[in-house]
Order: sequence, then C-alpha cells, then structure tokens
Amino acid sequence: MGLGQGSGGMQRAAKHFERAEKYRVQGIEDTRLALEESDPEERAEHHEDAQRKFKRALREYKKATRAKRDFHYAYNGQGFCQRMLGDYEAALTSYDKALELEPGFPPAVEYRAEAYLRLGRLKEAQAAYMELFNAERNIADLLLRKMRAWLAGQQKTPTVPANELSAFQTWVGERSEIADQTAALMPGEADSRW
Amino acid sequence: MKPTRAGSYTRLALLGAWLLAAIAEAAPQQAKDFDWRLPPGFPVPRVPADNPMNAHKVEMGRRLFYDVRLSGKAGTACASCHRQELAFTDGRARARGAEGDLHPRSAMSLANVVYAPALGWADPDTRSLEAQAAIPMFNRQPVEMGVAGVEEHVLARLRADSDYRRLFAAAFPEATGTLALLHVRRALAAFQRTLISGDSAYDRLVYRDDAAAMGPQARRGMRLFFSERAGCAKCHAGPGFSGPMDFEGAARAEAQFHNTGLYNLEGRGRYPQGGQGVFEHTGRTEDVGRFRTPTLRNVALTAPYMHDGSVPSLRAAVLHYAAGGRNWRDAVGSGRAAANPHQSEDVREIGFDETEVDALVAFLESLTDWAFVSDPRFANPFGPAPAERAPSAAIRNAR
Ligand code: HEC
Ligand code: HEC
Repeated sequence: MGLGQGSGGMQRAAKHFERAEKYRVQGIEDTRLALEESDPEERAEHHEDAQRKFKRALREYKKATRAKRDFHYAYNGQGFCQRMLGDYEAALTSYDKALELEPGFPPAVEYRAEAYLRLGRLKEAQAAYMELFNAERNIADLLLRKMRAWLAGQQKTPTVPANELSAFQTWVGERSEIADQTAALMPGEADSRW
Repeated sequence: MKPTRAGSYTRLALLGAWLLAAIAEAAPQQAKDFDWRLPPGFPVPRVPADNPMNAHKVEMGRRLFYDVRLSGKAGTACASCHRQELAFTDGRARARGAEGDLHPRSAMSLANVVYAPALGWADPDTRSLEAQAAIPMFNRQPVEMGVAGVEEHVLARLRADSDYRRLFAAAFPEATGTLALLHVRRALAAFQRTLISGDSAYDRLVYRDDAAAMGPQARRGMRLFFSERAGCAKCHAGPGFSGPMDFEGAARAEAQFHNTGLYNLEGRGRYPQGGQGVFEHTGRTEDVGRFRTPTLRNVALTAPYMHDGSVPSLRAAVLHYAAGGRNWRDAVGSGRAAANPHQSEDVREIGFDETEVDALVAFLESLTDWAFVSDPRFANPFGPAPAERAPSAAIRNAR
C-alpha cells in the first residue's frame, strides 16, 4: 500500500480523511440548500456555511495527505474543496497529484475536467470526457451534464471566444447523441460501462 | 443510484466503494495481467480459473486452429470454416465438413467470441470455448473435423511435432503428462479469446472521438439503427452488437434468443429441420425459431446471412426487418412468416424508405474492422498461403 509512515500513519490518515469527508458532505448539503433558497439573505448564509465546511474539509484532507503521501483519494478531495472555494489553479494541482498517484482515477479525471471548464481549457475537458467515456460511463454522463450546464452559463456571461464556444457546443451536442445511442447498448445495467 | 441535483452524492457513494477497494489488499488478477490489447471501451474478458491466459498458450492455440492435422483424415482445420479475411466465417450459406457433409447451419464469426455468454446459434448449454471446441472435432452429424474414433491417431501426430512439444511445455507448465485433448481444447480457447475486434469506423467515432471516421450516410444509419422505431439495438446491443456480454467483474450474463420471423411453415410457425433453433435443445414449442443474436461487427464480410445463410445480402437483411419478417412465399415456406406465432414482438413491419435502407446498410458497413481481418497475430502461422493450402504444407513438413 506504500504507507509512508507505517500503519500509524495509515490510521492517522484514515481518521483525517473520514473527518474531511464528513465536512465535505455537509458542505455539499449547504450548497444544495443555498441553490434551493429564494431569499437572498438566507442564500448567502447557506453559502457561507458551505464555504466554512469546505475550508474545514480541506484542512483535514491536507492532514491526511501529510500522514499518507500516496493517498490519492485525499488529494482528490482536497481538489474538490479547492474548486468549491473558487481556487481552480490549486484544485488542478491537487487533481494532477491524485492522477499521478493513480492514473485514470475516474473521480479525479471528472473533477479536473470541471476545473478545466472553469478555466476555459476546453480541449483538455473534452479529452477527459473521452477518457471517462471509455472507462466509467456514469461519470462520463455526469461530466456531460456539467458541460451542458456550463454552456448554459456561457450564454449569459461568455468567458471564452465565440468560435471556440460554438465548436464546443456542436461537440457537446454530438457526444450527447452518441452517449444516448450507446446507452441503449447497456444490457441490464450489468456494469456502468454499458 | 439516483442522480442527484449536485451529482455529488453519487460520487460520494462511489468514493466509498473505491476506498474499500484501495484498503483491501490488491488480489492478483490473472485476467487483468494478460496483455489483451483491448480497444478503448472494451471490458477485460472473463477467463476460466482453470485455463489462465499466457502468450505461449495463445500461440499454440493459433497453430492448432490453422492445423489440418487436427482433423481425422481429410485436410480440414478450424480455419477452413473460420477464415480470418471473412471475419472468421466461410462465405457459404451452410458450412461443409471434412467429409463433404453439409452442416445444417452457417459458420459463425469468431469476432469478440470471448464475451459471448453462450456459444453457437441456438445452444444455451455450451458456455465455454473449451467445451465448444469439442463440437467441431467430434461431431458425427454432420462430420465437421472427424476426430471421433481416431483421437489417439490425431494426438500422436501433434505429439510428434517438436513445435507443439516446445509450445505445450511453455503453455502448460503445470501439466504432468503428455499433450492431451484437454490441452488442445484449452489452447484453442485461449487463442480465440484474443480475437477481439474494435477498430472499425464506428469505434473511431464512438470511442476515439474521431468525428470524421463515419460519413453522413452511415451516421444517419446509425441514428436509425439506435432509434426506437427501428429497434435494432434492442437485440443487437452492447459493444459486440450481439446482446448481453460476459466479462470480468460483471454479473454472469445470460444469452438471449429471438425468433425473427424467417420461416412460418404451413402457417404454424414451424422452421425447417436442423434449423429450429432453441427448440432442438428444449423441445418447447415456444422455442421454435429462436436463435442467438449474432454480432454485426464485420457483418459486411460475413454474407450470406442468418443461421442458414438464407439471406444473401445486407440489403436483403435490412428489407427483412423492414417487412417485419420474411413475408414472401418461398421454396420452403408457405404463408406469411410475419404472422409466425412465436415471432419476437420487436420484429414488426417498419417500412423503411429507400434512403433509410441505404443508410442502414452504410452503417452496417461502417462496422468492418480492417485491422482485425489482417492482423498478423490472428493469421495463419504456417505461412501466407490461403488457409486451405498452408496446413497441407505443414503436414508434408511434419512427415
Ligand atoms: C465444418 C465447418 C466448421 C469447422 C471445421 C469448425 N467450425 Fe466452428 N462453427 C461452424 C458452424 C456451422 C458453427 C455454428 C454452429 C451452430 O449451429 O451452433 C460454428 C460455431 C463456432 C463457434 C461459436 C461462435 C459463436 O459466436 O457462438 C466457435 C467458438 C467455433 N465454431 C470454433 C471452432 C473451432 C475452435 C474449430 C476447430 C476446432 C471449429 N470451430 C471448426 C463450422 C465449423
Ligand atoms: C428481436 C431481436 C432482433 C431485432 C429487433 C433485430 N435483430 Fe437482427 N438478428 C437477430 C437474430 C436472432 C438474428 C439471427 C436470426 C437467425 O439466424 O435466424 C439476427 C440477424 C441479423 C443479421 C444477419 C447477421 C448474420 O451474421 O447472419 C443482420 C444483418 C441483422 N440481424 C441486422 C438487424 C437490423 C439492421 C435490425 C434493425 C432493423 C435488426 N437486426 C433487428 C435479432 C434481432
């Protein structure tokens, strides 16, 4: 397992990781509440709660990676929190680290692709989609939904050049169609890939 | 798993599973260790625990597959009926055996056969390639390779060959005795497990994001193929276009058998002798005419079509579905086969127009994998000569 500091390190890492996961779930829940809230003040409050939870989670993930240097799950969670806190560059570094330790790790591939989207690095997001499409179809589907949501946001406040945007839009349309068609290929949900 | 608003709960649940897997000591995974050279999107095949893959075994299986010494007296190899350039079919309506017997059915493609949950056109009980290999060798009705009764003779020939002795030792390091039929079947199975086809224009579009791989007509055909209206993918499902697939880590798949309305003898749903489908195994009337969905990969190379080769071209196959079954009177049938009482509900009159027929044919043609049918790993090891001739040369050399 490559435990840097023996099984003591492993236990410490697991303890921090568990805490981090707990805060992260709470952060996600607060984010959901914020999204559902119509009153602006309440919404801001939920949002602040969420940010606080993600900060705590991030601290715990970092402790976990210090206790166990090759803990790719923890680097992945670290990246997630950094992304939720708006620090996309730091998030990319964490995801890169997770993927360096565990090449192809699907959640990190997906999260990193979301960070790429935010940074307008569309080609890299597309490549990540194909990697997931060939490995974990349900996570690929999730990313495609995120891409459609991102495109919808771009209609209001575009952050990438119009020609890149329209090429990406065509691509998302085509891949959505292919995903739908080949989803019909899944016999009895035997495995997420088919 | 229900998708949630944020989608993040899905991820969390997944993450939990991954964590468990990471913490558990990684078990040695034999099937994963073999260098399958899987095309993108293809799952790791499942391999029986008592016949692990190794490169020597695959090589031994390839030689056996092309070797006419594996047949009784006349020069027939597996490859006589399963030719690489025809995606491992034989180009005949019905196969012809070593002694000239006509097989009641058509030779099947072996592309991606490793994923098939059951083998043969209509045999729910033959589930492993090891078991299947005995059928052509020992079949007496019809005689395919004519090994029955002369097993020791055939084995003596193989044992006398120094190449087989060397390969056998490397392929089956655990074996204590001499080369036996069990090893022949296992090696043949190992070779056939490597016959994976996933480099067609369709694959380049779908799994490699190459938008230029398929032309607009084939793309239209693809849309139609997967549409609810045409319904082809209800049966020709999965990356193999052949229904449920079996692979490492998945729940055991069950083969599905369908009646596509090819016959309706005497208007009573009967099919011709030798081609009555699953009925011949179960004796149940509802199984008359039910056959396993064949793969459509490389289908442009495998004419004529259906279990008895009674459909001459891809166009005719598409028209068969357009009409909702074979609805003409032919030499063997009387009455509209479309009214066959046992016919699948998923085969009913669709009425494609001409451009739709063309598009579907173009799509089926885009499933040809030229790399597969010319891959030297699957070719005749006895030389570049046609499959029928080269093994005879091998016999001469061995004598
Ligand atoms: C005489 C021609 C002939 C020969 C020789 C022959 N086959 Fe076949 N093969 C067929 C036919 C016909 C079928 C379809 C059988 C049925 O009706 O189920 C078939 C089916 C198969 C299948 C099932 C494929 C699937 O998708 O279900 C496999 C595997 C196979 N053969 C392997 C072999 C091997 C291995 C050999 C040599 C040991 C061999 N065959 C020799 C004609 C032949
Ligand atoms: C109800 C399931 C089902 C549906 C729906 C279906 N097929 Fe088939 N298909 C089969 C079966 C089973 C066979 C073999 C039948 C036989 O040999 O008796 C077959 C055979 C074929 C073959 C011949 C393959 C060969 O190697 O001989 C082609 C081509 C084909 N189908 C194309 C299509 C197309 C195109 C559609 C949609 C218009 C379609 N199928 C819809 C089950 C289905």
